Amino acid sequence: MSTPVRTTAAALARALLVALVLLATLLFTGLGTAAHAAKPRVHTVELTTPVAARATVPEGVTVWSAPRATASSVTLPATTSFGTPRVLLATATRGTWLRVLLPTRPNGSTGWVRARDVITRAIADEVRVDLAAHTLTWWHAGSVALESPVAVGAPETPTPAGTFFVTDLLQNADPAGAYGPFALGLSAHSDTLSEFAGGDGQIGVHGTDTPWSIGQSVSHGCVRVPNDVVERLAHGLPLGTRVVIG
Amino acid sequence: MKLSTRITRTFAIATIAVSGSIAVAPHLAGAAQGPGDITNPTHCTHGCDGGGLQGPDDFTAPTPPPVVDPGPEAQDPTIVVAQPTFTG
Repeated sequence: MSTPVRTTAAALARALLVALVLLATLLFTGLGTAAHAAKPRVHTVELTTPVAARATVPEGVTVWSAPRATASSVTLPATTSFGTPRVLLATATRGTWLRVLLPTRPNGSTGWVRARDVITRAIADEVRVDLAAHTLTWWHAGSVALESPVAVGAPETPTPAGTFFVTDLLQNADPAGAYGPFALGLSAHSDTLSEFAGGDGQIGVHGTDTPWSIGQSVSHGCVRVPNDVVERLAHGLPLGTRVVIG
Repeated sequence: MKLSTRITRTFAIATIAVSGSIAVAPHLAGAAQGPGDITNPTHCTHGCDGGGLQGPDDFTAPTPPPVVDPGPEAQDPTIVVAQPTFTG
C-alpha cells in the first residue's frame, strides 16, 4: 500500500539531490570564474621615491629575471662580502613583486624580488656626482645637505656613469690609509678593471690620503672626497641610497 | 523510512556538499592562477591597521611606507669595520 508513496518519495529525494549537486557544481565553477574575472590587472608601477629593500631571509634574497616564479633566478647572499646586510634599491612594483637594481655586473642590471622577502624603507636622500664638474651633491628631501669637490676616475679608468646605490658603509681600520676613515661601497663596477686590491672592481666613494687630488680625474674609478665629507656621508646616508653619476 | 526523514537526510547531505564546495572553491581557483597573481602578500609593508584585506586592489601596487624625515645626518646606518677593496 505504501509502495507508491515510497517510490514517489525516493524519486523526489533523488531529484532534489541531483538538483543540489548541480547547484554545488555551479557555485564551485562560478566562484572560480568570478574570482578570475574580479582579479585586477596587475601593472608595473614606477616608484617616484627611492625605496631601499632590505633582505629578511637568512639564506639570502632570490632575484628573478621576471616577476614570475617560473623565470630564471639567482640568490644573493644575505650579506655583502664585507658583512653588510643585503640592501637593494627598489625602482618599481608589480603586484607582490619589486623590481630592484642589482649590485652585479653589468652596471644597471635589474631583477625582481618578492615583496615578502624584504623590508622596504623610503629614502629621502640622494647623491649626485657630476663627473665633469668634479662635484658630489647630497640631496635630502629635495634640499642640498652637502656639496663637495671630488676626484673621479682617470681617462683610462673612468668612473662609470649611471644610477647606482649604496651597498656598504665601511669604517676603515686604517683611517690614515688610501681610503680615508670611511668608504661607501656602490653597486657600480669599473668598466675597465675586473679586479682591484683583492676586490672585483667595485666602485666606492671614500676619503683619501692624497687630498691634493680632489678636483681632478685621477682615480681608478672611485670617487674620492675629503675625509671630513666622507665621515658625514657615512653617518648620514642609509644603505640603499640612490647615487646618480653622470 | 518516513518521507520526512528521507527528505531531511537528503537536505543534510546536500547542504554539506554545497558548503564544502564553497569553502574549497576559492582556494582551488587561486592556486590555478600562478604566483604572480597573488594579491594578498603575507608581508605587509605599510598600512597594516589590522583591518585585513579590503579588496583585490589593496596590494596590487604597494607603495613605499610614508617618509618620517629625521633630517640629514640623523640616519642610523649600518657601518661595518672592514678593509675596503674598491677601485680607489
